[in-house]
Amino acid sequence: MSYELAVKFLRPPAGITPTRVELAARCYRRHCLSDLVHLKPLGDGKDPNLAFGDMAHQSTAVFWRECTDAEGWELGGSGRAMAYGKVMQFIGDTWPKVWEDVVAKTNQEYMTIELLGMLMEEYTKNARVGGDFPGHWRIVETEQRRKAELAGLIPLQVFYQIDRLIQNEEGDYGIFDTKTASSLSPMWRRTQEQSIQQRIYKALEEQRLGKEIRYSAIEGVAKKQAAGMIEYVWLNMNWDKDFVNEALLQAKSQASKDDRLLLQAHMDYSGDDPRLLWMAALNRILTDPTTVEFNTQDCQSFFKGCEYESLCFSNPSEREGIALGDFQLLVKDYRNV
Amino acid sequence: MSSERIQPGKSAIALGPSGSGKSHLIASALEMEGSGVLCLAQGNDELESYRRFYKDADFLITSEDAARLVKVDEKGKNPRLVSEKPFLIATFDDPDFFPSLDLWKATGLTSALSFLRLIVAATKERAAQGLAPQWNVLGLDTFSGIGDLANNSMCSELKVSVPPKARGDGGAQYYIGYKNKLNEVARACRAIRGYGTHWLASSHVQLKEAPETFSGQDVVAKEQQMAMFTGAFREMVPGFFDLVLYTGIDSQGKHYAQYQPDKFRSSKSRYKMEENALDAKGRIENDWPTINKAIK
Repeated sequence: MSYELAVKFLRPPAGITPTRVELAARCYRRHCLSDLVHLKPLGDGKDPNLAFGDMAHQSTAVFWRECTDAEGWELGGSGRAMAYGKVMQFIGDTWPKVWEDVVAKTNQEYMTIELLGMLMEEYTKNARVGGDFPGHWRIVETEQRRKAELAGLIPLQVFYQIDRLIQNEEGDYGIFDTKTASSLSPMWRRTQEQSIQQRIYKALEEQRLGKEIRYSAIEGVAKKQAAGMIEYVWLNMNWDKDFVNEALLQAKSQASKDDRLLLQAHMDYSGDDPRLLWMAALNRILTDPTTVEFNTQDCQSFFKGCEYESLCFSNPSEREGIALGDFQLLVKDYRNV
Repeated sequence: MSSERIQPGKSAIALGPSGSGKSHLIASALEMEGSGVLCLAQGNDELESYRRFYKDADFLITSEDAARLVKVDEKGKNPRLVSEKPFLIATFDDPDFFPSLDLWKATGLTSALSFLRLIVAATKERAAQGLAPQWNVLGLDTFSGIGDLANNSMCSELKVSVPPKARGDGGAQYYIGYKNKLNEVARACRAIRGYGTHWLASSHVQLKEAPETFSGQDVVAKEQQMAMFTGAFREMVPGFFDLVLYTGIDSQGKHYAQYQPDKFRSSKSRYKMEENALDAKGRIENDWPTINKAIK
């Protein structure tokens, strides 16, 4: 198999996303295991945190769609109340299907349909199209998936999704990223202010719209302490062009590291069996820190144990076998995607 | 988009007293699957159960066997197993561990672990070439016997004839060391299983008394029959396997494996059981072809 074919085989079509860049910066091995070779714990369903976050995002998208007119301006009168009804209907219809595949973990049992309902009740009362940005805002689009290309020696495709793109009466754009968090602590706020992910969103949207994004913010929604409380974290305060570009360089650096891994896997196995190429990549990820480094300080980040801990804590020579036995392995072939 | 699921082997442990059919399950798996490697402890205790495989087996029991089957490179490093026969049988013991006679040599566990690591390396090497495992079954008979070797090893290190009290001198060292050594054994077996070899183990059982700390409260603790290991490791044993069964022989002399027999013996299955696979008492014939067909 040629290197070009091998890269096509292993590299997912949505290879680079801001979320993945963020994860790769925290622990590169974790990124490679989850985003490149897609190791999933055996018998484990969808993560309740992710499932709850997805549902909350979809519910907010339903809300903004229902409470705005064709041009995105918020409807007056009983518009919000009607939209709230639609959101509740959406949750009632969708929750059982989504939650079917979720493994309830003992410390996450608080994530229930009742909590989501309560959270959305608060959200639909208090959220504003433009958050606490000054002026009058309309919705341009919500939850739109986009693909962008970053120029460079090797052009890089980045896939991303903005939760809410808004515009004010002067024509300025703003972007919102909604995040559910256990509590909106000062530490959470500080982390958001430096987010690589948000800087990449801003840069990519500026490139696409050909205009500076002067307003961007995180819309934090608390799901444990003071559930439903909203906090807006403004992001542009100290973000100059170099600060934003730095995040793009981080994305490029991650992409080139991913490519180096793919090349290494191809050098380890250059035959025609896709399964063996995939195993060569897995073996590199698990046993070669010069190609794929790891960060033990991230194992418990966000108070949630990394699902790959059992691999990292075993002898390197046994990791591949344990991974093959204890994880669901789907050897995907992206060549024809 | 095409995709191919890489299939690991199945894993199961049979729990029960001597003569209840634990080795019978492993032997039936060797028979059905046509090849296998056996890691037996202590010593030759369990060897007799596998007599019918002798003619097609290589044995790794004596140092002469090791010299014949384990080859090293010209620098005397990188040992690898060279066995052409369908079955490979290795036994492990501590023949020179007699604390009463001041004889403390206990190398059975490290030998067993080295042997398992050789199997990991051989299996991994074949997998990298896209070849199926050389051995379809890994039998660990008994895992609790390997536990006895871990006990010998720790007692030898601490120069004590019986395990120290958990909260006494050397207690932490003994129990943590014992657990870590057996974890190493379990990890090697899990790695082998990952490449497609079924991992079947057996263990003797013992009664674990109900902890007094629970008595008098709403929760009533019960005594439990558990795998015969000491300390925290015995609680960990079921976690290594996807299927935990109790073995027995009924009044007609028929071997059975029991799933969820009663509240004193907890079993488990991460597999989906085929409908009607179990009889009214929750029993299934103790025979790998039957059990293998029933679990998915």
